[in-house]
Formats: sequence, structure tokens, C-alpha cells
Amino acid sequence: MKLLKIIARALVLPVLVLLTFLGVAFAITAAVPEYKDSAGDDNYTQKIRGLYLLGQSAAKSDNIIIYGSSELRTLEISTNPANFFAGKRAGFQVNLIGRGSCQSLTHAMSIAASGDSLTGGKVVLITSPQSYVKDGIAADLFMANFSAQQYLELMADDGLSPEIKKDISRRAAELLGQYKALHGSAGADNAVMYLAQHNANPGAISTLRNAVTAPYYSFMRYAYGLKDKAASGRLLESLREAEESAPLREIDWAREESAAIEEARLMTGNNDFGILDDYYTTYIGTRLGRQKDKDAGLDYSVSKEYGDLRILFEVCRQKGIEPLFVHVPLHGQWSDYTGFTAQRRQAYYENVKKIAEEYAIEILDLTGYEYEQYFLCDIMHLGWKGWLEVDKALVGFYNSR
Amino acid sequence: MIKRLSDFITAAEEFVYSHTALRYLWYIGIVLALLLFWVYGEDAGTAFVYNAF
Repeated sequence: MKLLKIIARALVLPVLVLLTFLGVAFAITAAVPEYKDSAGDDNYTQKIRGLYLLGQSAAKSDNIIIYGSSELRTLEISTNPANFFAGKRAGFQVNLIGRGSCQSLTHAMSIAASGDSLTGGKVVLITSPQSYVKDGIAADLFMANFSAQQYLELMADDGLSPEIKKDISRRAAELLGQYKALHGSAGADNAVMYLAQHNANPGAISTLRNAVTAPYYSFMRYAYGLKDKAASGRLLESLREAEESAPLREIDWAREESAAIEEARLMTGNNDFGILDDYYTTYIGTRLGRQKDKDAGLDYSVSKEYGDLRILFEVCRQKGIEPLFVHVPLHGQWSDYTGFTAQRRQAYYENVKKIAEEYAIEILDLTGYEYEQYFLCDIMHLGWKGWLEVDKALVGFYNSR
Repeated sequence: MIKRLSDFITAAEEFVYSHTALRYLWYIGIVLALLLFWVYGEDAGTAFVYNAF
């Protein structure tokens, strides 16, 4: 009897703590407002590093999720899909996910961590040529978009093969390790780095450490999930409802192109490259002479980014996702000026195409538009006519599902 | 002033710890505060785990 009393008293506190955690989780979940389509119009951090908003958007049958990088920020251009399809004018809402330096590995981790929310669905993938340098994405750029929540979630997903988890862990461990060597522990959760190292290359000591820290990882999944919901809730509270216009039956693409060209002409008056005035003034301008042949040694033919692209496509395959991959061209006139030759550009284009074909990925190949005026809005990002080509493809992509 | 404040804190502490229910409530309050700080603090995650490992 006395023993039972001792056991009961010992259990009271853990049970109370558990009830507190469950109560907080319930309260936060109940307080999250209903998902608003307007969350798709901008590339909010909560969508890049979290999972809640992704799941909510994926559950809506009229949402098209677009994973991209810095080109998504070109919201001053009317043909950017967020502007072009505002008010669901073609019957669907786009959801932009990504920002500068979000490349294949970051997208792969987000999709891998999405559970079943994207399974059987379609997403659009855009990666940028400039990440195909020899070492692939830099550690600090990877870290800027790394999500411990996503890593822990994907590792707990039984639907993913051990091989792909190992591939992701190997790259994550490598980049987290490089980041720590550069910046110390600041900003990084060392426990997650150790977990990635263990999953990439398990040894006796790391297995022991992993067994000891397993409860910590389980708790962190719960805590990151709560934090994600709370942050998403705050974002949704701050957003207005998207205004819906009556869907148009047909879009007059010829008229849209004329309007895009006219807009581009007005926004690119101070240079001969068809580059946005502000961009040209800030990054080129009086330094134009110094840019001549600066990329004579640049080569995208060998890069770790190709391995990351394979990981991304393999994750899509294992999740049963049909992606549309947008193959973005380089700026032909600018690249010729800076000495990044057509031959070396072609090698990069072909490498990416071969990998996409290997995984039977539907590809929107825009690489033939290198010299098309106003196709890009600066030296690397899709512009007025480039986005218009993507918009056309999105309409077909949406109607084919 | 400080002496009075110190005496008050000591008395409150003794009072809380002499009652099991209050003691448990105090523990739960701390857990709740830490959890809410983690969930709503901007860089709370980093603050918690920065040097834990």
C-alpha cells in the first residue's frame, strides 16, 4: 500500500507536465485561423521553414504549389504568377514557396517532410543556374533556409526509403558541419547536426549517442510543430482574404504579351541588356567595364548541385508527386559579355535535362530563350516574357490534373 | 526595502513548498512559461539548444 502511494506520488508530476503539453498543443491548434489563399501570394518564411501552411495549401484542390528561389521575389512584374493569376483568374491560386538560395536540397527536404499532404499531387519546381558551381550550395546559404523541423519530420517518415534519407542526411551533415566550422554553434542546433552525421554514417559511438538523445528528438518534433502552428497562426491573422474575381474562360495570350513587353520597355530604360533599371543601377551601372569577361573561368559542368537535383527528383518519385520542372535559361547577351560561353552554358543545360529525363520528369524547357529580349528581368531571374511562358504552362498543368 | 522584499520571497517560497499542490502548480507554471517562451519567442529555439550539446 505504501509502495503504491509512493509510485502514485511519483507519477503525479510527469502526468501533470504531460497534460500541460497536450493542453498547450490543443489551445494553439484551436487558435490557428482558417487557411487563407492570400498566404500563397508571397514567399513567407513560415512556408519555407515550416510545414503547417504547406499542408493546408496542399489540401486545397485549387492551389498550385511553386517551389522556387529568388525569382519568386520579382513581384514588381505583372506576369509573376502571383500577380498574373490574382483573384484566381484561371480558376486556381498559386502558392509561392522559396526565396534566395532555396535550391534543390532545400526543396527536397520540404517535400520529403510533407508527410502525405503532397502525395499523388503536382508541384512546380524552379531551380537557379547560379547554384550549379562546383561545390553546389554554400553552407551559410543552406543554413539560412534550413529547417530542423523538416529534417526531423522527414527522418520519421516510414514512406521514404533508407537510401534517400541517408543521401539527404549526408548532404545536411556536410553543410551543417561546414557552417559550424565557419561560424561556430551560433544559429545551428548541434543535436540535429549530430543526428544527420549519425544517419549519414552510423558508428558505435553515434548509435549510443542517438539512443540517449532519441527522446530529445521526439520532444523537438512536438515543439517545432507547435512553434510552426503558432507562427502560421500569427501570419494568417495578419492576412486579408484573397479577393476572387470571376474566372476568365480564356486568356488572350497575345494581348498579355504585348502588355508585358510594354511594361518591360518602361522598366528597362537605362541599359541595353533589358535589365530592370534599379537592378542595373545597383549591381552594374558604372562598373559595366569591369564585368567584361569576368566569368571566363566559370563552369557549371561539374557541381554537387546535380546530386542535390537527383535527391529532389527521387523524393518526388517516392512521394508519388508529379512535378513540372522549369528549366530557366541564362541571360545570353549578358553571359556573352561576361565570358560565360554558349558552349559551357549548353553543357549545364544538357546535364540538367539528362537528369530530368532519367527520372521521367515533365520539363518546361526555356533554355532556348537565352537571347529573347525581356525574357529575364535581370541577369538571372525570370522576367516579363519568361514568367508569361511559365503562366501558360501553369494553366495547362492545372487543367491536366 | 530589499530586506522586506527578501523576507516576502522567502515566506512565499516556504509557503509554496510546504503545500504539495502549490509546489506542483509552481513546477507546472515554470514548464508552461518555458514552453510558451519556446513557442512564441523569436529565436527561442536557438537560445534553448545553443550550447546544450
